[in-house]
Amino acid sequence: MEGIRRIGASPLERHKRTSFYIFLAPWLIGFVLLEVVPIIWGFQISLTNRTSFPVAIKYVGLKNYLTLFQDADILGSYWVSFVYTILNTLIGVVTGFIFALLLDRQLPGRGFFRTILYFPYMIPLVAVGWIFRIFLERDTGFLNIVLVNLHIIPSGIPYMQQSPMGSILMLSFWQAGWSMIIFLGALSTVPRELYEVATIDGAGYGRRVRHIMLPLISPFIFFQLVMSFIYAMQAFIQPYILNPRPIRGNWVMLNPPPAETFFVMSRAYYIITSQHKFAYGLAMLWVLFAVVLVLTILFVKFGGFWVYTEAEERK
Amino acid sequence: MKALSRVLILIALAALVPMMVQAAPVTVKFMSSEADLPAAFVDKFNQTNPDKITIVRTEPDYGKFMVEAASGNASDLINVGEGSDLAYYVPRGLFRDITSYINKSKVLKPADIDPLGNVNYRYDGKEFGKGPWYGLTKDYNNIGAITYNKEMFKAAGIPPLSETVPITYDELYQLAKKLTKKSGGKVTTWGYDIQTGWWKFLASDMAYMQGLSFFSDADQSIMNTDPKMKDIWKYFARFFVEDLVPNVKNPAPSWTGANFQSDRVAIVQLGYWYGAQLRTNPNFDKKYGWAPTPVMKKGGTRVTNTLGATGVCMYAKTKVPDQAFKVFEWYMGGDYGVERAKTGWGIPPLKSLEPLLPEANVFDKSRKLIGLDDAKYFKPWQANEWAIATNWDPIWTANIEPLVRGQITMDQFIDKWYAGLNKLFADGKAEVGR
Repeated sequence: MEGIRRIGASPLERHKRTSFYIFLAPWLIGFVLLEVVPIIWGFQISLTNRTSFPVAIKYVGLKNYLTLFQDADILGSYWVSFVYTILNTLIGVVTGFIFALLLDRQLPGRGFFRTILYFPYMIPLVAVGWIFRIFLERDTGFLNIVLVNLHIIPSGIPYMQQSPMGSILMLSFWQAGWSMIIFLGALSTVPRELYEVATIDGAGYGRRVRHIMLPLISPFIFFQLVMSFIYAMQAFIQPYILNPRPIRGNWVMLNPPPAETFFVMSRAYYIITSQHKFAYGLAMLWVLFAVVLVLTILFVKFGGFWVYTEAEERK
Repeated sequence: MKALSRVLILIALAALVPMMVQAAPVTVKFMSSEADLPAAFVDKFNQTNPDKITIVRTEPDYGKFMVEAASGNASDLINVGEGSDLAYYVPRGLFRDITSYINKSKVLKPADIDPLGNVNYRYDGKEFGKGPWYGLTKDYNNIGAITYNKEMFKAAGIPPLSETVPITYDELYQLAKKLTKKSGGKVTTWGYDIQTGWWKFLASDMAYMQGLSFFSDADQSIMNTDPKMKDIWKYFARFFVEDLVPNVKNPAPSWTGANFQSDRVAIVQLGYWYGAQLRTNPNFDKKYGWAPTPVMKKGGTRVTNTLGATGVCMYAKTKVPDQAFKVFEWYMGGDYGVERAKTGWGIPPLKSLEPLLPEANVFDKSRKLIGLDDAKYFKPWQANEWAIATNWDPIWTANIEPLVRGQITMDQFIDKWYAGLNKLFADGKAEVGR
């Protein structure tokens, strides 16, 4: 009898279910129409020869996918995106962790510094890019002016030209506030008595960090590595704004960045909008999606063995 | 009876609908920068035009435009950066043939349209200047004309250039060498600067002067490997290698015009329009000089181009062509067209507006004289239908940097430049199933 009663939902249960789907409907409809449908449409287009001007569209199967794996420029873009992702993730997480360690102590002005360090993360990326462009410029850039006046360097260095990737990675330092905030939250979850016990047992600061702090905040580190990886693989605007070539007003997007920083998203955008190769650009984005998905799954499956969890292991 | 009166009311209401629709305001979307379509003029037009047309300016985002065109919903009027791109756009069905509108227009009379200045807006599928009209230039310029800094010339002991006899391109190179200054291995002043991508427009003039074509096949899809043609490309590459123009080793802080205005560059080739910008500098009339577009040999053939000239075309699938053409008329020959001619930002599309160009001082007189003289020698730059002009540039830029860094030789640079272009054209052909 008990089982039968469970199968047949009560009017209240049915009402709850109906309410649930009604409340969910606006999001669900939006998700299907604005995300699922365009995604499927995009995939379908990637199997054609479609350009911005639909002159002679035909189905070409996997030709676009096969071509892009033979295109050295595009493979180069995947590679520089991958290198940037690794470096950006490491810089962001390590810097954020160091900031968090410094601000986790009961120091005067802690709130002020926490705000100051988090602040750059709240500034839109385009604005941050322009700030850095002005900061790094050879002749009029603030960094060069300071270093030349302090006689550290004889004349301004064209940072963006000499090291396009380095210039973009500087943003990662500046935007480490997101990571810092998460680490501050993570550090507050570590029971203080564990440190006290370890200290009584003679453990120094380094050992307390290594054996208590890092294992206990490892889920937060893992989360940040995964999220940072996904976001960084999709970096788009940074190489355009920190393009070492002169850019003129709103023509920013017409001047592609150098190969060293022509990330995969930026190149796909360029291929679609400037070269008008719709299908080819979409194929690039589908491959990017597949790469991010596969690497994330591999990372979660094989990279999580060091993550501390209190959940019981399933036998 | 009641039923009949209801039917009559319905019929009356139905008859009113078209009238209501006609009277309803129509929006014409116009993709243009605000500099080329100022809000004050748009507001005035919107308030005073009797046809209840409202112009809505959209930002000139060509990426967005491509996406909108793909979905058949782009702006009704498009500011086209380079008219020569019509060779690419027209076969792809992007722009509307407006010949019938022009033939009926009371504002834009065919006899009044400057044929050379507007040459790129008429295209028969093979040649510019023939066939249907797809738009008009908003104004045009002799882009090879030289603007130079007289003070820098004087400091280097170089006499001012003639306003009537063009120098040669070899002389231009020698001047650039003399005027480039270095300090501690770093360039402080460049003798010359060339606007990104304009090497191809100037190279086109130089090729015409020697009877050369960019291409070696009838389809115009394979670059010409004639050594003389290659020498023209090498001419421009040499400026980069020898630090005579800003490059990756010695970058300039801004674009060509701004570098010149901030006294970092001695000579530029930007054309008539640039004079309007220079007028914002103090002492502009004494500080800057003008010279006609250079030639290949003294007294030889003269050729210059408009790089296609910035203009306006009508989107092929516009739903409001009549209203869009009314805006087009106003823009080209109406009060805004008249006002634009008076400002001297370019030579107007209509011959009747030429007398309005400013000539209140020596500077303006000089650039007008040179502009109108150069205009007699216009030839459309050697564009083809396989790629738009801006798509040539990344290939040059991507290869000029390794050349400047010494990673490749000049011959390798030319090979890569040609290979990149040949591939670009092959892709363009495939795009239209050729």
